[in-house]
Amino acid sequence: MEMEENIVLKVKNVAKTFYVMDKHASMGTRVKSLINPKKYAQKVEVLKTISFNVFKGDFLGVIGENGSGKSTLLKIIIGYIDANEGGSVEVNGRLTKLALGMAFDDALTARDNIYLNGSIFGLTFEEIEERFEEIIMYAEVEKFVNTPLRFYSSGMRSRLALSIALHAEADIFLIDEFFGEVGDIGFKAKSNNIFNNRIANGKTILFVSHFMNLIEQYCNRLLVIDKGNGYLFEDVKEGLLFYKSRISA
Amino acid sequence: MTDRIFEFVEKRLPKNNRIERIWKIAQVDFKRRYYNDVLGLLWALANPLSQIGLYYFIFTRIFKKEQENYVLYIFCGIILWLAFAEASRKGSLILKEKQYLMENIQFNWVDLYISHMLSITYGMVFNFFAYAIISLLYKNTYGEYFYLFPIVLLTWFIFGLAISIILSLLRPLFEDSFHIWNILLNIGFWSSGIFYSGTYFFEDYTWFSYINPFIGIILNARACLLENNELYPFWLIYNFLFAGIFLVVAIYIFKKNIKKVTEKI
Repeated sequence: MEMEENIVLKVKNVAKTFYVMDKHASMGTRVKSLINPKKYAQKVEVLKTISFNVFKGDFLGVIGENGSGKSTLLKIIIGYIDANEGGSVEVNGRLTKLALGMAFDDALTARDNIYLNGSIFGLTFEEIEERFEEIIMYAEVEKFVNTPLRFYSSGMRSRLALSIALHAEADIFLIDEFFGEVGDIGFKAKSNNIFNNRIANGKTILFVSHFMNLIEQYCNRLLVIDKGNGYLFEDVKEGLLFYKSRISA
Repeated sequence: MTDRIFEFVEKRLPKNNRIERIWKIAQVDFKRRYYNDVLGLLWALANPLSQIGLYYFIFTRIFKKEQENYVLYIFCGIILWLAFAEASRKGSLILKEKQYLMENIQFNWVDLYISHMLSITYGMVFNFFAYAIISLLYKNTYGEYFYLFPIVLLTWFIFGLAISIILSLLRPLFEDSFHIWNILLNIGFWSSGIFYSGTYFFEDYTWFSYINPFIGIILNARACLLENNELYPFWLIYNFLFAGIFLVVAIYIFKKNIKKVTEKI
């Protein structure tokens, strides 16, 4: 089935129910639950029915209270778990979740970590080489490129992680509260600048956040997830009002 | 030294993100295993060497086993077996250990297993260098069929890959599978012809040679690496096909069930 040309992500009738096993269940029940989870495990309905499309260049905000099902939705979109039968996710392009310091290893040097994370984020070694100076200069760790990360302060670590993430390549980015709070005021301003120029500029983004001001600043559409149901708003302000009414209810 | 080797290979890789990512994850896993220790990579040697010393003493002095170049004879088998045991044990944890990647990036998850096997292979190659040095001391020239060694290694690699895939699917669902696998590894250690010739199984227990590819792998590894050791072409081909078919089946089971397993992690 071909997707409409400007739709890059199509989420249709996505629902998710988990079957969770009681930790103290007997060995027999555990084995039986592997074969027939519906009968022997506890049912937890996380997402009811969610459908929406994301268009090329969209900056779609996703907001919802803790436990509303946001993380589960992201896991389904990225393909880590399946939706219930009948639901589908179609992606047109490469999709990456920008997580800070995803594959950082304290025993390895900054150089090794940059190459590892860069290649995980879709860059070839040649592209990493081209951006290497920029990444370390932006992270302000020029003198410590060959130092293992275990000797880095938490600030240096965060700056490096953010710097690598901001140089990632993908058609669709999933952002889960990752930027804005790293470093001092100067560094935050620099981050916002790079984010605006490199990531937010024409790329398609799904932005999960609790910060309503950031959603209002960046997003052109909003998906509110409440108790496993999804509500899509073309007008972000209207969506935020709806969200506020739900959390105060 | 190892960094230079890695750098040398890295510069010659095709400029392709998938291949480079597989290579980098393997390299980092390898460094993670040894670079934090004071003696580093020497630990990769210490385990097989200590075991070889111990078994050599037991078999030649206590059981009076007489075999030409017995140290090398054991070395051939033990390197392959210990690397396989390590690959399968660590492989069973891949889904848990690499969850952070699978949750965040879209890529072919089988790549994680290829990286894993590559990182185990780096350690094994290091052991084979040690083998080559000891081989020189014993004035052993390579076996007559040295040129076939890549096929033996490839069979080992494919079989290890397939086993890692299956075990990693089982372990999150059924933790006891790890203990069952350890028992099987113990049985395999003594029944794969590491200390004696695996030809013992060909006549009386032929069926066992069919289900344990290590009997053929070790026999043929010796034909490649040791003088005066016979090659078993049937087992060379059979094991290669066995490992290949097993891998296809493992990938099929993986694709069919992986999402059910990731839900349980």
